Amino acid sequence: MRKRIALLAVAAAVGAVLVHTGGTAVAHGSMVWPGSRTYLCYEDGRAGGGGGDLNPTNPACAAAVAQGGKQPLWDWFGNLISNAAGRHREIIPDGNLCGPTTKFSAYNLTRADWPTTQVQANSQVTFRYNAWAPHPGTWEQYVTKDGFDVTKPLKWSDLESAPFDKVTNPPLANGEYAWQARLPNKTGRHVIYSLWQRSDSPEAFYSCSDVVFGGGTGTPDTTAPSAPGTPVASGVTSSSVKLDWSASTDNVGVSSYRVYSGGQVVATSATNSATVTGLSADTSYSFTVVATDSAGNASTASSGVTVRTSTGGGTPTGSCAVTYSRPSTWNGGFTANVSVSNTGTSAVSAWQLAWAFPSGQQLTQAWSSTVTVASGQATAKGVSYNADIPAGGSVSFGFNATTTSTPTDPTSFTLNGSACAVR
Amino acid sequence: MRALIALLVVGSVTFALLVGRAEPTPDLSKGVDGIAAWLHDLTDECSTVRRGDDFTDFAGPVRSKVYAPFIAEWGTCAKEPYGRLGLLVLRPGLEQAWRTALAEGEVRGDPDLAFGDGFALTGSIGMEYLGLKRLECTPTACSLMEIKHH
Repeated sequence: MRKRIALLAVAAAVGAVLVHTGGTAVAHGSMVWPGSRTYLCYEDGRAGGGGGDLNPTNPACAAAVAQGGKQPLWDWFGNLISNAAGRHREIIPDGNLCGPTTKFSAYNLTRADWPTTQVQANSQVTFRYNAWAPHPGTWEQYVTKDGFDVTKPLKWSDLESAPFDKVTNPPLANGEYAWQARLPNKTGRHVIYSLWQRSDSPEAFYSCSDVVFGGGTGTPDTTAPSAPGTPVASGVTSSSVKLDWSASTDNVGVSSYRVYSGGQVVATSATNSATVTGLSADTSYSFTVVATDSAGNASTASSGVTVRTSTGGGTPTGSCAVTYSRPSTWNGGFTANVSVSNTGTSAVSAWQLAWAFPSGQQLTQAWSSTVTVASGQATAKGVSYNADIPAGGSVSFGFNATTTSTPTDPTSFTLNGSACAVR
Repeated sequence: MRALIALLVVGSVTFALLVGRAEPTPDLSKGVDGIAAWLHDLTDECSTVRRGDDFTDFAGPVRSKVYAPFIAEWGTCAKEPYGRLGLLVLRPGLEQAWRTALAEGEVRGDPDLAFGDGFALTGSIGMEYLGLKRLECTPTACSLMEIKHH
């Protein structure tokens, strides 16, 4: 134990407790907006992996995994050369720019179907680069020349001779470097090639972001999306939680949402729903959501929701119980009454009860609660006089709904993210 | 220590010398479980080892061809920031295999593993704080290198 403590002390002394994840994470990086091939394939893989695995569905990503394995995606932020020392053109042959080492070689595949990011030519955008710990250094962003063909090997001579953007030690926030840049005046399919050369080490990072330039009005989009709604948790297990939130609005359009916990992005989604995986059992997490648009503008963070994961070892249940009854059913509709009991020893504030709401059903009326339905899930919240449930207390509400089929009763409910016993 | 440095300088690397400073070291008599226990002791992570995956699916056929013959046992565990971090119990010979593959143009650059004494991890972040090192290789020699702080 003494040795372990000594090791951690040494690590802490140099400012980065990289072997301990009690909150401080570690460096490395890749472009997350516009997303690099490794980042977008990782996200694609997560979406197709069903939680805990990586199974990309994008054909180029799938081909990259077939060639290079899944491990490069687990390490999507590690596309680096340890001893580059600025010798990029000297040590990286043509055709290997996007994956200069054997490990990432598959990301050089000459394909037109890599995940792309739509961008607006000549617009002011915010580049975002993941960074788990700050390091001094300089980023250079190059764009491919007019006439670039993504189905041919990317050569150094395919890049414009000078970077269209260069930044040294950009600001760091929320686990990312972010800086303003003006995109070049291009049209169509291109690659933005990012080089990050650390100044405190010869190590350098490389990323290819596949982009499609459109527009070109010259009018930058600097309007950020509105803040997303407060996320609602459901389906809490010992290692994952599903979050839903009301959508943001934007003058151009919301392109994605990022879910944060502890200052780190833990999930991204193109819709107003995401499942966060890889959580620790019996641990409290606070989640917020930020919306971004295609120009990289980011909204303010949503209000947070706190969730405690279950202890594992079976179906988790929190300190709550739900009684669901259907006192009246008619052809094409039904009435449901719901009673939520707080079986714990402390009050539940701002309660939110969530349950599956089949697509054939449509909510028509609710009382003693505000009920919303989104993405196949109903969420009930207390109103002014019953927003909290005291310890040992309960609240009741009801609703009417139409249905296209014989209604079935929900079998599971979550109260503020914790599963409830069903009576 | 002086002898160790001299050996490193001339590139005469043996796995027995890979980690002079790493304390504590994994109990490799327990195989992957020994690596996981060591990592768990240092980080409070890597508590569950996943086994049975195909190494080629994990590392891809090119690297698998080079690495697999020298992997006695392997598994993965969750260790931030890695959803799956590879834990490899090694047999001697990997360095030579990499140099051969390098000479034949099958691979480029250096092995992408972080090496300890008889084992390796597949991570690229924070490995230096575990006492691990990396290999820099040419077709004729490999040198064990300190990993710069990340």
